[in-house]
Amino acid sequence: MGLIENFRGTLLSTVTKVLIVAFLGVTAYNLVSFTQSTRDAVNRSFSDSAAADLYGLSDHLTDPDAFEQYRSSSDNIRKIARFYDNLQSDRSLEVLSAFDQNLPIVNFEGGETFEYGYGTEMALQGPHLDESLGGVAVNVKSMQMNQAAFEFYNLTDAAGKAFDWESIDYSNPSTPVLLGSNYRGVYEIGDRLTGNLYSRVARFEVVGFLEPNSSMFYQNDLNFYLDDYVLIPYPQSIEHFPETEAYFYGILAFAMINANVAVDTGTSPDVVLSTLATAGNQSGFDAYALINVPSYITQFALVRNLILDNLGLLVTIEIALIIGSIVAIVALTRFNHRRRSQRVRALWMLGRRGSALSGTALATTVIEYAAIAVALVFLIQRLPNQDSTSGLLITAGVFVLFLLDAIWQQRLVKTTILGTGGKTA
Amino acid sequence: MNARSLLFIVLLVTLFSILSVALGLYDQTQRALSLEGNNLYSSRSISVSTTGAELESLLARSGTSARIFQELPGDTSVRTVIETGHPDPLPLHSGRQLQAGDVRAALVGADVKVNQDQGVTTYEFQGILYPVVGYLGLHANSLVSRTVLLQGPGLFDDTAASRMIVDGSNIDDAVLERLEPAPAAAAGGGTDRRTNIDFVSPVLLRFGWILTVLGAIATGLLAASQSRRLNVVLFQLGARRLHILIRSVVRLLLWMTLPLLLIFGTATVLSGPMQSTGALLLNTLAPATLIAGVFTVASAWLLWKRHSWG
Repeated sequence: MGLIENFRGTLLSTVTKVLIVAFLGVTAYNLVSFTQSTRDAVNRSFSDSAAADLYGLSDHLTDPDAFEQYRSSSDNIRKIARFYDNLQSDRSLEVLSAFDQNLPIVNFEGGETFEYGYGTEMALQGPHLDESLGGVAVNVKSMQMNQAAFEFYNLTDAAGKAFDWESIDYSNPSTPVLLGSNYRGVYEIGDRLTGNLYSRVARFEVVGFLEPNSSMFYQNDLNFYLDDYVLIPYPQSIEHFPETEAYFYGILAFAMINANVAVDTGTSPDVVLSTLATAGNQSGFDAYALINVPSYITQFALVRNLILDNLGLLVTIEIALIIGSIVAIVALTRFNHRRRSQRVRALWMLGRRGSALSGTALATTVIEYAAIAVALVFLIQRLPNQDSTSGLLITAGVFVLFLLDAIWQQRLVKTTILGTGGKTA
Repeated sequence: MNARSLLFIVLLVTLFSILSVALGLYDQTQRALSLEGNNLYSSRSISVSTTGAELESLLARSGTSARIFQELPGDTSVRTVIETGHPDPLPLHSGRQLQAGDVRAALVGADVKVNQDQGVTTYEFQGILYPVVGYLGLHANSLVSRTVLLQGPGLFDDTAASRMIVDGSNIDDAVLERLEPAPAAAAGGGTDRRTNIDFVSPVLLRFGWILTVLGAIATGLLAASQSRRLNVVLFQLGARRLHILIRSVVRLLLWMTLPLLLIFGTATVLSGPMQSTGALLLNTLAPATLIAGVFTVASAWLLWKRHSWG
């Protein structure tokens, strides 16, 4: 039983070798998993289609009296609605309409992290009696947005379900909403919420959850995360709003044109201005203001660079680890072989067949790598990032290492037997 | 140990020292990248409402490494900062970190308007000039290129409790209780939330360090086993055990000196403002110390346990 003998005197170095290969495997697994996560992040928020020049669109009725006066006319509200529709139908630009606000929800079941103002300088109002809702309500964070914004920021229902934008109509008995991923465990799909949207009692139905760490560009911040938000969809158009609800739709119309306008990078601002002027002329609404938002494309490039810098850094350190490990593995394998070669030479001289000696050496390698495989599986199962593709790649990598190691050790045995390998001793 | 195997051992020492220095640099750079992607806050930062003086004394008493920020009136991109202990270095592409000894100092991004006067670059805030000691961002073109951090007397609002952000690794629970912290919105993880870097990087580091330690131990053992034959001969020639041991250890140390100096020198030049000389020296010497220690113990064990040699 030469196999057991092979580990006599080399047990410590063999265990060290097994651990080094296993640990190297874990770091490589991590790197592959990070590469994928980076690719996902870049695809999600930094694809070429998301590289755009952004302009901020708003009304210029900054004087409250002028604003109230303008809004009091249903005709004016219809003008804004038409302006919005005209812009939306224009192919040269995208109107990314989004607006955050506090949304009082009655009998709210979540914690204070969902509360409007949480984490900012604003004081939290906490649970309070809301008379229009007839119960204790909590003001939660909510984001209203249109389909163009939802798609521009690559937001998706985590279950992969398409959101039915065509069916959104605030005169329906309930409006479907998506919840940020931190709402998991607080509410379930199908749950109904009652809230106060622009002084009107609104009923919402939870139809899904956003992917974790969903983000958008908001208030000059590309890293604006929606995990604690209730996402309320805007209707496709509000031109034909019921006359009796002019107050509500007046606020909504102004909220909806509070938008970013995205155009292909390099598009001249004049083109954007003339498109807006056309829409304004056709609709009769000209009280809009447009400002350039250069921070989007700047942050877009810089955040992407930051993510890629991180990847570069990880790849560099992994290469250093691989080089270090390979030298250590080679040193340990040579050390083990030196220990074993005296016995191999003696057995050969005693008449043991070469194939038997090679077989024992191969079996030794197999045992080493079986131990490596066990250690790797044990370690990787304990990692938080489970991912089958990385697992497959690492298995392939360790297998290649095994083949190389086995071939090398076979050659070492052969040179020992042939007696030409004086230097291996 | 013949010359060839000694050279091989020195090569291994060099390798593991480089690995250790690389891991240290990686760690600092990664943390700095993380700070850069989150408005210079780490994911551990909290928002508190207190006066700067009280906070500083609380943190100083608990011996914590932390950075305390407060937005200055006027412009949200200008903040004042106090450091206690040794917090993680801020991302800089040139210059140096803030030091406790700086009476007035500023760290500014590349796009911040600064004054040049007789070779001294300063940032002016409320009529007072703050010498610029370093430039924020790992590259000039960065997310913090418009950010200003000021250190100086009288910048913190000490008249009344106000909102400030405390960023430190393990702030004392007793301090936290007194401050009634609320999480800071900006501390949501920033750019790091987009990828799984938050758990990939610690695992990579931990295993990287284990690898370095294992490699160093293996090198020490290898060196000891290789010098065994020479030690036996010396012993049989009548040399004393202690003498043999000292001789072989000194020989190893002498051989290690040049590569270690080279690594330390190169790393100091390459690392820029991101890592302190002390940390670099520690990272360079740690594996070599471990190797020499293991070598000494293993050699001593081989020398004293083998009674049959006599």
